Amino acid sequence: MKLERLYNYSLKSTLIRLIISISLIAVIVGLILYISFDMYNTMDSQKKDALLNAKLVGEYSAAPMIFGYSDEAENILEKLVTLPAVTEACLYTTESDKPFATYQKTSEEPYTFPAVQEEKAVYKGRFLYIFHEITYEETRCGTIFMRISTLSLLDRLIRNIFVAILLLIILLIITFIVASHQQKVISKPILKLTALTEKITKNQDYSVKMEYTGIDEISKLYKEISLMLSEITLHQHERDKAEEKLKKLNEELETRVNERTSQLLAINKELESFSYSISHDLRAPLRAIYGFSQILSRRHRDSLNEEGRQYMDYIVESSVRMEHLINDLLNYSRLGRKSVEMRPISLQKILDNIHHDFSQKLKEVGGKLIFEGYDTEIYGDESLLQQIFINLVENAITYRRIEVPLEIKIMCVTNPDSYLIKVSDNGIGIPEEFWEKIFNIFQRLHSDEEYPGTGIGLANVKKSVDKLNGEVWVESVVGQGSTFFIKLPQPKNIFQNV
Amino acid sequence: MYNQPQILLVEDNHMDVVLTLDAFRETHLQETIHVARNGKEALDYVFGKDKYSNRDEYPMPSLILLDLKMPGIDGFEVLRQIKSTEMLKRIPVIILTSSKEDGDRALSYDIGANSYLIKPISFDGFIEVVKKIDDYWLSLNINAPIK
Repeated sequence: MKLERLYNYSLKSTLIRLIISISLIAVIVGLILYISFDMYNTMDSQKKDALLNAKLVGEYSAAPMIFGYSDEAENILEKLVTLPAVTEACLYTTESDKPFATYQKTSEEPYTFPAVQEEKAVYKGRFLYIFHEITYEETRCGTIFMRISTLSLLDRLIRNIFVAILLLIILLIITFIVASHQQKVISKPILKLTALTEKITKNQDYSVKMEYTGIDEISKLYKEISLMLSEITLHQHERDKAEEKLKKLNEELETRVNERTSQLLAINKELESFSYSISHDLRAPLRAIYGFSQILSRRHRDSLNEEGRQYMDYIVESSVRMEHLINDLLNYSRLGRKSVEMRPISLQKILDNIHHDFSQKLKEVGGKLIFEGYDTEIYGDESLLQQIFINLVENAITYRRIEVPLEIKIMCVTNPDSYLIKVSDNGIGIPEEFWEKIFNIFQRLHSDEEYPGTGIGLANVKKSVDKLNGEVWVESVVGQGSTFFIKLPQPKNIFQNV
Repeated sequence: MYNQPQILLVEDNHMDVVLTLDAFRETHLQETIHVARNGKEALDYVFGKDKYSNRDEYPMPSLILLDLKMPGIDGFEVLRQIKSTEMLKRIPVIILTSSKEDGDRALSYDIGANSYLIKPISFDGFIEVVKKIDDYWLSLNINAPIK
């Protein structure tokens, strides 16, 4: 508690208080000792003086006492008037306890003289009592008594204390002045240090110069802090350098990534425009081949023999396949260039369209399309979603098993942060090693004779899902069917506002 | 002769011209088809420049079939000029192209195409398109009076 209270004062005032209190205690103790010693000495010398006087008066009074001249004796005692401190005195003969002759300085208060006592000198109350045996020529002839006032002693004590208090006050002032100056020796460097550290914490600048000279503890502290600061500065410098380096590396990496991205984008764009122009430019000659071979087989079929007719049919068939291929390629390149328009879309509407588009085809192959949980509104681009379903349903129809009636099931599950769309069929299935590869363009698992296809359909699905920031994958059991999973992100805020 | 619908076919690909003409012939329709081989010829025709000033031989078409991708002046430019000419803007223009591109479709309608058809790939397809054009644009649809 006391320490805490000490901490509430500034270093400066604490130091001043400390110095003053130490010097005051020392001086007070010294003064008390001095006064006590002085009093003791004064009392001792008074006692000696009184004894000497008693002895002198006694010697003078010896003769009257021996001869019984009390008047003579009182006359001698009267001489004591020259000693103002002596208030009463008397003489005793050896024959009686009663005083033989008495002396009183003032007769205002009659004094009852004590009975004779043996040799002594004692302080009692405000007086010194003296009994002295008088001897004359080796013969004891009586006793002298004196009562001496100690007022002078008290005066001296009061004077001493007054001087001491005066001295203390002067000392207090001097000590305060000196301490105020001297405390700076200790407090100044510490206060300076405090200010410095405050500045350092405030500015976060560790490169402050600390000046220090001397070998005392504060200089040592300065030295240590200075060392610490330079250490920190060094670390900071290293850290800054490392940060700089990291930043530079980051920038380099970013530039490289940007370069690579733009390269990839350029390549992608080139590829897309390439496939676009190929598909367009291929269309014109294809139209000629297809169109004219159709005219030939329509108008001139009879003028051809069996072989000619068959070959003509081959040309027409191949043209149809090529038309599909070109259409799919065009679709693929169009998807790549398409801008994505995300908005809430009714899944039902899309699936109704799909159902309508495929109803004829499904009737032909004897299959059915089942929807579950499709009354949801999902967030996406309508034509991209359309592309996904068209290609997946087309795929399911193409790779159906002949022995069982085709059943395509489309399900939509809404999760807290995503939609999961499942498109399952009971078709021929896909071996596990192709589960990823089938989404690559032109990746085919079967020959055209087995299952006609272009190898672009699932690539279109993948591209569409990518554009919607989703994921697509497949799980399948060969000979039982496949399930395509499409996970699309759900933007929560859009639906919270609805 | 003037009672017969006059069609101007603007097409740079010779094979496509032959196929289209053949399809019209196959359907035994009454229309007279005039062919412009490129954008410049098409504009010369409609504006009656040089030999096309003879309107007896090259009468003003009542319907234009326009290809988009042509060297030099392309289909868009032809369409733009027709639609910005007071005298010609009411003639229905049907785009007949192999492009399904969003941009091509949007631009065509923006500058005033009346219809947008995809060129069929087969001869059967051509016949169907030609029949439908005849059914709709030359029979069912009532055109604005030509100025």
